[in-house]
Amino acid sequence: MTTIQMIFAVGVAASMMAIACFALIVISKIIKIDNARGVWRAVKRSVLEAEMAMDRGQLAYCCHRISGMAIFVFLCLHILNVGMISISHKVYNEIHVIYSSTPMRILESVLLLAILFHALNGLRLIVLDLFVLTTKTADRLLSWVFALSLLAGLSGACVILAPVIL
Amino acid sequence: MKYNSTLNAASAAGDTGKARSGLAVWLSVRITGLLLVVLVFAHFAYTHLIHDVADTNAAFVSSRMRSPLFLAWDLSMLGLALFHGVAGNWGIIREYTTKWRSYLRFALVLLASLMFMLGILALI
Repeated sequence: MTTIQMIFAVGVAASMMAIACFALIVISKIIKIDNARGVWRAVKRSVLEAEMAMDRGQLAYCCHRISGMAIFVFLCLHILNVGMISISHKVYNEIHVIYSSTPMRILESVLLLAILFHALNGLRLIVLDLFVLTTKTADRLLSWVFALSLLAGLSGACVILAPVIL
Repeated sequence: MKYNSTLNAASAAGDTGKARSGLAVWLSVRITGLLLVVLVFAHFAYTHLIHDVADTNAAFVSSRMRSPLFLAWDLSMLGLALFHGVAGNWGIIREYTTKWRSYLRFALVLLASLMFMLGILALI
């Protein structure tokens, strides 16, 4: 591994940790973890109780925020590494090798899932802004959003991961 | 607040009322969002599904950039995505911070401008 690849890998890891911290903040604002002592307990409570404490709208709100932030962070990383092409093709290619490694392919599949959810839920929000719908219909639309993004995300993941699985 | 999207919820939480700019942001986030649905999925499909990611090396990128269609596509995607991201983060900063608001916003705009310039540099 060269120095520049190391820097990129550390950047990816740091971004993922930043996204995880942001997710914790978003969830804790919704389910109000006030009495949590320490980070670990907050993580445990937010994972275990998020499902119970949140209604469907709040769940969608959290997922939309977290996926949006994750996509934004990845966008910055993406521009940074593609921007290296203006310095030299060699540097670009060096970083680009990481993209075809197995962990990075898994990350790309997760990114696809995040983009799918963010896009479909964004469309749902536009529909909710334009038409007056009942909570039940909005919830049903959200189920479709989850189902469709999972289905398309998993199919996409099969294509992305095929070269390392097969 | 339940079924309101990010910016609605943010403006309900209350910055001092700039209703007109609020509406402009609300509308532009949705319009850029709709455009990005098309642009980003086509981009992702082209670089990850149609072509394997291992093949998208520097030669692939520079040959792509010779086509005006791809250039226009990537340029508009760069601008729209950064705008959409800044607008989203603007609301997030408004909602979660009180003390460092202006510094964070400055850092956000600085980051986005740097990214935009680097993106332009890479494309041209």
